[in-house]
Amino acid sequence: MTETNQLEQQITQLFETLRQPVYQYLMAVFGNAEEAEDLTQDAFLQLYKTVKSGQTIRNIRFWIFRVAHNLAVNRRKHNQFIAPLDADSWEVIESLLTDSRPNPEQNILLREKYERLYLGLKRLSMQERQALFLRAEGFRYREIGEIMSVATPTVGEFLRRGIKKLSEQNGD
Amino acid sequence: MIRDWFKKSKIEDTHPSDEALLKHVDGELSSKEVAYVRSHLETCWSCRRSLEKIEETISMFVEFRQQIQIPLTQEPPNNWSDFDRKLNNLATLTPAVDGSWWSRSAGGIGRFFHNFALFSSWSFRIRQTAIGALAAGLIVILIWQLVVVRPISANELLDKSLQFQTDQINEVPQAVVYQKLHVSRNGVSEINWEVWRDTTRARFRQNVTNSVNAAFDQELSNVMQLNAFDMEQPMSPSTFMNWRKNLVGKSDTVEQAKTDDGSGLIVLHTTNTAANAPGQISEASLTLRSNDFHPVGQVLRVKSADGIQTYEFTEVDFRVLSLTAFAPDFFPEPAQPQIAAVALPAIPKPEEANVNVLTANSKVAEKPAAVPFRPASADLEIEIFSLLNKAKADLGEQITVSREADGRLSVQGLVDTANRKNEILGALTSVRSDPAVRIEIKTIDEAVAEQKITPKPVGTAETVESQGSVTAADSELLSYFKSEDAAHRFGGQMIARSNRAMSRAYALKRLVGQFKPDELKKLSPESRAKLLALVRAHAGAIREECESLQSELRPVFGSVDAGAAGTPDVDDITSLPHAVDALVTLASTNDTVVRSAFTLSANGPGFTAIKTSQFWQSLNTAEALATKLQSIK
Repeated sequence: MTETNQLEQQITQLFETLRQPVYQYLMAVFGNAEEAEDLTQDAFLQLYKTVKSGQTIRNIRFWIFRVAHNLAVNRRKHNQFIAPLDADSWEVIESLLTDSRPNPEQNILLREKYERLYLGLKRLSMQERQALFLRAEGFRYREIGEIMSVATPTVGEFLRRGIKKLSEQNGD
Repeated sequence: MIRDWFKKSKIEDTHPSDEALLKHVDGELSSKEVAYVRSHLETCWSCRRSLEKIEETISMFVEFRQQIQIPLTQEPPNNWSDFDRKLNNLATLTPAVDGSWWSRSAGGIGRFFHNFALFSSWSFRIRQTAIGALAAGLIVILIWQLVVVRPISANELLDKSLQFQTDQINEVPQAVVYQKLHVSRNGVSEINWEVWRDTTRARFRQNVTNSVNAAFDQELSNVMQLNAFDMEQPMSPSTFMNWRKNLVGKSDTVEQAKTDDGSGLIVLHTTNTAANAPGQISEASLTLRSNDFHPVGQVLRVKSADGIQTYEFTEVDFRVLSLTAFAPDFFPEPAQPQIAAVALPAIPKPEEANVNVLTANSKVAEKPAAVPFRPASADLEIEIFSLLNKAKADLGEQITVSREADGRLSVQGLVDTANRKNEILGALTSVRSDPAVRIEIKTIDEAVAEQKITPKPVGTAETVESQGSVTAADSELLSYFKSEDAAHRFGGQMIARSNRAMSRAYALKRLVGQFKPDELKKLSPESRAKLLALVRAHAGAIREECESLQSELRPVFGSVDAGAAGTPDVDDITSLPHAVDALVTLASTNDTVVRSAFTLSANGPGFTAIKTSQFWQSLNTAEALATKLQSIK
């Protein structure tokens, strides 16, 4: 097998492993399925080009998220592409919850809880949302700062504000 | 403000801030800070409750994400089906550098030498067999590489062709593209067609020779215009791309071919599956050289009352020349009246090509200049703003859209590079032929050459940085960042943010300020939708910059709870001009404060309005007004 073929194979394996979380992140933050699919693929193609050009990448997962994030931000700048962040209406969410619990009372409480959180998420700014979803992907504050091109203390501030908004919506 | 809290906590038993508690949960505190928070939590019920609330919210968010958000996320529409093809294409087109990833990758070299040592220890017969197998493998790979055609899409092919051509144009100052084509119809030679396109001043000249059939010129011109082919670039990737892009239904095939001398060609065939009217192109093909994707041939099959007519274009010559090589009057100025056939002035002629000298039958066609036109409509004006927006040409660059006394719209611009100029002209393609629009985009070099302006950089928000060593906010910045470099970098970022908000506010002003409330009311539904989409996009960007300024300034300067002042109502489209004026004023005030805080100050560190409640109120008000504009319907 040629080196190129082996590299293609490795990139394909990485793509199969990491594409879903990257796509989920782009969908949660930027929200357009076609764009998210396209950008996820572009990030991995960029990885291929970078590795093939001789650069070394230490933390591939972090690198892929950073590139995908930047591609999405650039796409938005270029095309004024702002997808509806919360196109999924509450009715759709509710349909997922229908009779998911045997106890009707428990079901109602669960619905109320999720509805509050759903409303809370709608109140987040784009950057608070990005920081929160990147943190949920397990990135450290320093890494989130590098992905979003902001200082590490600013990440703490975005997360604090994000958590506060969600918590307030929950009635706390 | 974690550091402040931690310093205070050494003196008195202060409650950790919410941010400190969150960082504690996330493992982001230093060991000393962790020790303090732990010890405090042991004694403080209130902080334990705060910590629990943070953990509950995180837990609820994670649960929501897993139970609702991820399952509800729409599946990728194409099910990742494109990836393998794109990767294969990339593998074909991307050369590996010396010392490939393989030999550099961790362990790769070690494995290579380990395997080599094993190889050396094999017996002679085994080694011979192995070498034979390796050679056979290499031959198979070689044949495979030669025979198998890597798939490449029509879009990729045209993009590459356009890129190569743009690069070629960019290499020549004040480029003039010369192309000579031979055109035949149904296998019968008809004309030689030369075009000169001045890429810097959007001027054009053409010359048709050897015409044996007077009606053919008009017939070809009709076919091209009906199918939106650019007469200035009759055979080019951009013309083919534009035609193809506008087809309602199409199918493409890409195949490889060879010239008589064995050189590689790539042929793109596009079928217009929706062609049903006479004059429409039902099928077209563009033949490109495979080494540089340059178009060398084009075939158009056109429906007509007499059946399908086939027009075949073959390139005889192509050159990118400098405008300086042409006589000053070679290109007619757009405002000049039509000129009758004249002999060509001395121009650089391709020596090796079989160039025909003007004959009795030849003619020089000029662009008609005095075409009657109606004054430009507000809808056309919005279309131009929308096209400029798509090319990101409505921010920062010196591009203006104004209405002239005769009712024409004038788009004038000054840009950094010829490449950028081509991008903008490309974006305006659909309105360039409109007689009610006058477009003049120049590079700085061209404008300097004409001595009409004093050169100055066309700045963008990203390039702005605070300079000097002492700013009014230096004491706060140094106390927070502990390093001058970091402090000044932060200042530069804040100025850039504020600058971006200003660029957007000015773009809004340029967009909306063109219209009176009555004109806004009379817009067509389509133009209205375009205008509002642009307003929402600009307002959204301003809101985000205001939010980011707040988030990033707060940790350094502390928060001031100032609220927002009243903002104008934005209840319908006629309220836009007033609301946009108010937003420009707010953005401008905020920008002045940010600049005064982070740019070099003669007075050194001292008072900065950035700490005042007035500034925070102004920032909040700008954000609130931008949010209103963002939701205008």
